[in-house]
Amino acid sequence: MAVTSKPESILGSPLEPTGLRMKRFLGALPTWVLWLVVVVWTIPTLGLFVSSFRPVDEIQKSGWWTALWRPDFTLDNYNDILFKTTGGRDALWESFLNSLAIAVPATVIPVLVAAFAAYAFAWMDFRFKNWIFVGIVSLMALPNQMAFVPLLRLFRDGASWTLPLTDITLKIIPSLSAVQGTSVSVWLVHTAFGLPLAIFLLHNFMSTLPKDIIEAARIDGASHFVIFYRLILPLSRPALAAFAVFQFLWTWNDYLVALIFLQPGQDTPLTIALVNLVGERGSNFQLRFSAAFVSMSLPLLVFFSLQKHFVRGLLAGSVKG
Amino acid sequence: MEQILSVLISVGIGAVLALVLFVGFNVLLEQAATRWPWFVAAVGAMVGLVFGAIMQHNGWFPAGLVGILLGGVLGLGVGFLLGVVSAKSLGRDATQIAEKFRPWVFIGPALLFVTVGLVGPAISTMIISFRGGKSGDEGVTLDNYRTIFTDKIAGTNQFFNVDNIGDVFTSRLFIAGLLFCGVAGILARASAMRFVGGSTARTGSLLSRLGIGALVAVVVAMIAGLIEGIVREPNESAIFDVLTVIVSSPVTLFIAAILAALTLVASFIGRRSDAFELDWGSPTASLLVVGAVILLLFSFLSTMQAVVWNNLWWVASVAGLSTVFGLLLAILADRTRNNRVEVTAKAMIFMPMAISMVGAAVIWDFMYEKQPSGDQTGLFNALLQAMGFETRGFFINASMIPWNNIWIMVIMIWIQTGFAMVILSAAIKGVPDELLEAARVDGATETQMFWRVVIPQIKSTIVVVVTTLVIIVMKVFDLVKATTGGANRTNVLANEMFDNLSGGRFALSSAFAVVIFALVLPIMVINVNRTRKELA
Repeated sequence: MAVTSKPESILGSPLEPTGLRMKRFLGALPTWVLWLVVVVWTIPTLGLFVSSFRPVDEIQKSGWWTALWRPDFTLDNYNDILFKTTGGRDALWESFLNSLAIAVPATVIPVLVAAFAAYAFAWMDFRFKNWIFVGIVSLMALPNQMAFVPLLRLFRDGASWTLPLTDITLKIIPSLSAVQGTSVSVWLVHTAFGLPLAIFLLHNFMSTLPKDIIEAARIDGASHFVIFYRLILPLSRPALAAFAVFQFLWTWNDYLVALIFLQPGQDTPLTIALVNLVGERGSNFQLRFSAAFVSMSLPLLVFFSLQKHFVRGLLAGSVKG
Repeated sequence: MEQILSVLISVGIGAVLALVLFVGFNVLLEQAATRWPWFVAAVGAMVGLVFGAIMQHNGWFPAGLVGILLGGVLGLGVGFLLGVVSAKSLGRDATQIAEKFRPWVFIGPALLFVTVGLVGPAISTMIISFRGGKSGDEGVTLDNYRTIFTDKIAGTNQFFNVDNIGDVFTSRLFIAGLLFCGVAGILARASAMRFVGGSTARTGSLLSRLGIGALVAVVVAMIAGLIEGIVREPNESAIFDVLTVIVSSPVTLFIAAILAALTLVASFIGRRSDAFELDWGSPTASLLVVGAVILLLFSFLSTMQAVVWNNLWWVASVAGLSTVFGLLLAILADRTRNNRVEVTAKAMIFMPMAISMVGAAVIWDFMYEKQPSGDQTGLFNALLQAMGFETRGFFINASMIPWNNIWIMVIMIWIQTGFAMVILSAAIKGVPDELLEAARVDGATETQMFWRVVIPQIKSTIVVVVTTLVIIVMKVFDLVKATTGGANRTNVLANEMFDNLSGGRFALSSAFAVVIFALVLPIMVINVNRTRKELA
């Protein structure tokens, strides 16, 4: 309540009835406008949701809003898309699991790796500390596109290094052909892309933890490692949760990284399956609605149940100082 | 199911291994003081294992595990020798030296991922973009950038075109932008006079009222003409034709140009002396200036119609409009008296953030759906049909160029407005109450309080929101790919980057990536400066 005039003072003032009514109406106006915006913002999703339960010929013949007064609903679309393999298309529940297999490791690994690093940046002293931290934070703005071509080659050929002034070429990293094109390569890439934000968020949170606790523990003879996993990790749970929700939604909803690093037809996640389905055009028009809703179901569940953490991550990530 | 299990098991094994290594290293560090030679030997063994792995891979050591172990044993031996030799001279300093290792153990894994996964590839991409040949393994050349910025295919350069710059100045949007500039200038002058007070104040308000009166009609015509221009299919009879004729006539252009020029001159004079001041902080003036900038940008970017310009258009409209809508909604939400209403409404507007871009594309593709005959099933075309307009394929039809871009941007604005709203709402709630109370005591009106207290207080947050949005929108890909695939002049840089990548033209693809990078570079610099200031 920043800019509002005090409601009590309006209601308490001796205004004549009509003026009072007018004031009340004007006071409630923001609420009504807000509800209007909410309706406008929700209609697209609602349309998709309603359509996903309508029979094929109805979808093609009449607008989804007619179903609100002439209800005719069926679960066929969900049954068809989730469990039937027609026209070379896999059943969608497999894609659901594939998405899970990408998003879960791609969330867990960066959280772990970033927690170590964030602790070091927040509570340890070492050379070039600030430089390295600023460097990592600046990578948050680096477009992922800058890494695609070399990473593809890294998975295919490995990395080699020609010793200066000689003709000797050393193979530093072997080609990861076992990993190339599978979901493992996708979550490795997601880990690298997610780390800068993770380190930034966790560092910001960890450096606000009270200094006294950590110094007391140091005096008691606890090593950094003990402090880290006995004290810092449990205390940082809100920040860890915030980033985890963030990263999970990001990796689950990702389309580009999966499109570039996955072998076509292998480990297909929901986003790619959905685009392929839309690309088929025509015959199975009705299936895209149920497919889209299946792909949205888990993010929406995560969003509405863990919204507090998500918002906290968002605020910590962008509002500073 | 098996596959999921195997992935989860391999993740589990990997995580446990990494943790064992990490814990092992930490335990080792505890031992450094008492058993220095063994500590150095263990470090040596680890380095040796990596060394052995590289050596056996290049055929200098026996292949396989034997080679790796050979390296490990060598490292162990060398490390132990070094440890014994150095132990005496080091004495008690050993603990401190070991402690110096520890931060690197903590940041090691992150550094490894970031260098191998981001920094190294980014440098490599820059190098490849300057190389010739399809996959970038030939000599140094500027060919890739030449292709993007100058090469003409079928008479035009589709990436960076400046041929039709002349059309910008006669476009309706440009004239509207000039008019906005002019009105804004008049209002800024009037507002400055009101502060000076006296007889000038009356002249000022009279001037501003005259200005508004004369120009509101033209502006309304402009907006009507603009809407009509977007809504109307070509060759369809126009409803607002009378108005649009007024607006696109040379006379209006002339008036607009004079007004804008006067404002420009006035602001220059104003800077030199206090005699002719302009108060750009006044609400109406600043709103009109924002409107003018948006209109001028739109007029330019919608006329240019090339990939790079499209990208900038995306950034200007999505970052700009999402921030403005987000701010408006944040204020509205703040003004509702019921806290639960506010929380629910914000959650619903914020919800699209959780949906994938691909999902959003499916949702909106259905909103824009056009049936060849009979009842329309897409909401927009059904509304148009009900109002008696002709239906249209919003981003499918070539006749919609360049406004087909706008309909895809709408999807992105739908997604990102919630983000801007949540962050700005938190900032507005953070404005100290004492400040507002003081302003109220001084007799400030609600509008004045908003423009002169709240906005300056949340300025830094607005900058953060805009920069974050610019970074996000500059690499827009999913939406364009899933709606038009870049057809009908809706292409963007990230999509070109992807198309060239999947076509095996790695060098050109890298050059596109570098162009995207160059466009976000200023923001990277801003972010780095901000972080450094916070650390200091």
